[in-house]
Amino acid sequence: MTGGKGRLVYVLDDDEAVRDSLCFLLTSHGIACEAFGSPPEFLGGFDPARAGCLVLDLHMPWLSGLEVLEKLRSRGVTMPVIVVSGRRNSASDAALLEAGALIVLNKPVDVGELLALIRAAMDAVP
Amino acid sequence: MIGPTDQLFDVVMATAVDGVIVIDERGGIKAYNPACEKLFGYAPGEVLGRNVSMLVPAPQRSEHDGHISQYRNTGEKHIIGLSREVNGQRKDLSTFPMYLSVGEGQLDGARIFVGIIHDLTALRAETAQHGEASSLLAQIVRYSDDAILSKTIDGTITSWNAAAERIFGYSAKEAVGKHISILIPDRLLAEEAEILAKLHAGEEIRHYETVRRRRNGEEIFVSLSVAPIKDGDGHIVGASKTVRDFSEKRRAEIRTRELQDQLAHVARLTEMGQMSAAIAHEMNQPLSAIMNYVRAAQRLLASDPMPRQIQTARDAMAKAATQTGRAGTIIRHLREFMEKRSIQQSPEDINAVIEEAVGLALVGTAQLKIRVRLDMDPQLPKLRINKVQIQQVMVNLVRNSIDAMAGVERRELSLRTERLGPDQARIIVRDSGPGLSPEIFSNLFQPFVTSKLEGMGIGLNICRSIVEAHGGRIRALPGNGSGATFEILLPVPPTPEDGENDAAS
Repeated sequence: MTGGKGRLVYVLDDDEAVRDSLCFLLTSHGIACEAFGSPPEFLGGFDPARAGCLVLDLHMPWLSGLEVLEKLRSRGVTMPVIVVSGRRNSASDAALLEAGALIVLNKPVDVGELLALIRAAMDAVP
Repeated sequence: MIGPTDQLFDVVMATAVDGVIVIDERGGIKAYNPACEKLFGYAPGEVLGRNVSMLVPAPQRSEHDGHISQYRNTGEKHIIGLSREVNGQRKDLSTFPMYLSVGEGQLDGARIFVGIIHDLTALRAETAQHGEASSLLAQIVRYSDDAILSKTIDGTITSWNAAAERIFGYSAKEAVGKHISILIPDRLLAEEAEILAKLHAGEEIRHYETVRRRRNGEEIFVSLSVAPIKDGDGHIVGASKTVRDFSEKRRAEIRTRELQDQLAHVARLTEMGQMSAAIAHEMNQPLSAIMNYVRAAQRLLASDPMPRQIQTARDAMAKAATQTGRAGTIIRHLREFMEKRSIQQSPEDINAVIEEAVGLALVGTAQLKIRVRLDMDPQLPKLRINKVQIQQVMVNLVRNSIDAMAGVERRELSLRTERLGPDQARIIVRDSGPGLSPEIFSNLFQPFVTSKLEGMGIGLNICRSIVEAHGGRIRALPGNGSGATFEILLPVPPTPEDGENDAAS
């Protein structure tokens, strides 16, 4: 069981209802999670040792999802990142995948798909 | 010569408008009438008895003497019994053209010659003028930028100017004698028959826009003017044709239309894109949240929930409800925003607004030869509208009609305005296109419904928002398989006049 490794799913979204509801959903499925409302909060507050997976909103003030991803990778953080975006295009998708995103999903996401991806991602983490 | 004969001779000589000269067989002048005095400037006393060669200019004088002596010796006639144009010489040595006829007679056993002289000075001047005029015309034809050609009634080319060479690529030598159909693309050959029929009916064709073919096969846009050529009896024997090469202008027109279409498309896309991006982003957040809350609650309540789980599920449902409220607020703000945009309205002459819009919509569609019928009610009062928005609606409807008619033979667009009861005006837009399919008809005003491959299908949806923001209605009327008809109803504002009328009635 994924939660058994003590890892967390981090949720980074500037919309309070979205991140709160996602945590609700994950918790209801027995997945431990922690939510952040802004990139600086997340980058300063997450615990790399417990990082199981990141569900990342692409469009946020201050730093875009892509920049967050790049900062993580430059720090050597390898946790799987699932990007969620309401305004996708092939160029931004390519840049995100290039920067090491696991996948880019349309918002609103299909809950079943998201859960399956999170589980797979957590299991893949060594 | 005796008595009355003498008198008659004198009167004839004196009255004759043409000059009359009588000479003997050596050329000696025996009679010389007053008309000759005027012509030559000599008094009778100065010429009688002298040789007629004094009246002949130097170059022909010796010849003249020769003719006389030759005739005397050989009987060979040079002019006797004939008439010809010769030159005469006046007393002041100037010369003038004259028409001379000479008859031979006998007087007192000797031969005499009677010359009748008709002055050609005026006629020559006229002819010269005519010649100048025709050479002026020839020059105009030669230097015209438009091809000017003529053809017989059966279509054989009979003249061909320099511009025709340039425009069509055939030299005059190649074109003259050929049939006019060498200039006509095969698919348009029927057109020539129509033109000929019109010509036969005595009609002129003015600025008829069509396509013609150059020698190298390239097709060019031209404007034709054709006029019948009639003979002296008024029978049509051919036609003169002026051909203006419109290709440049047409290319520019087509380019303009393309640009306009692109602009309109961009405008639609931008409006649509901005709006949809805004809607998508704004709506995505609450929808995502609702989805997550509901799925979480479902999960929590799935099997034998603990009381704590039921409470959490309730919380999730409450939060989902809050998010649906958020979504509703977004929609309301959007509607308020749309309505605010259309608030500026002023009294406008709807007929003028429509005519202007139709003019705009028709730009660049000349080659489609759309017949436009405007049937505007001049009694219609001014309507309180936002002129720009109503023009957008009209341009949109008319452009739709034009697009719809692109594939049909008969292209007729009719627009009508009329009063419908005391408080409504009606605008009808009708086209002769293929009409609306039932499936399009029922979804016509929904966003994204279009029969056009490249269209965004947002036009009519926006049209409806605009018309409804004016307190009006727009709908498509069921056509009977012939063309599309749209009806727009707009409110007529109450006016003081109406009030008076109402009070009176």
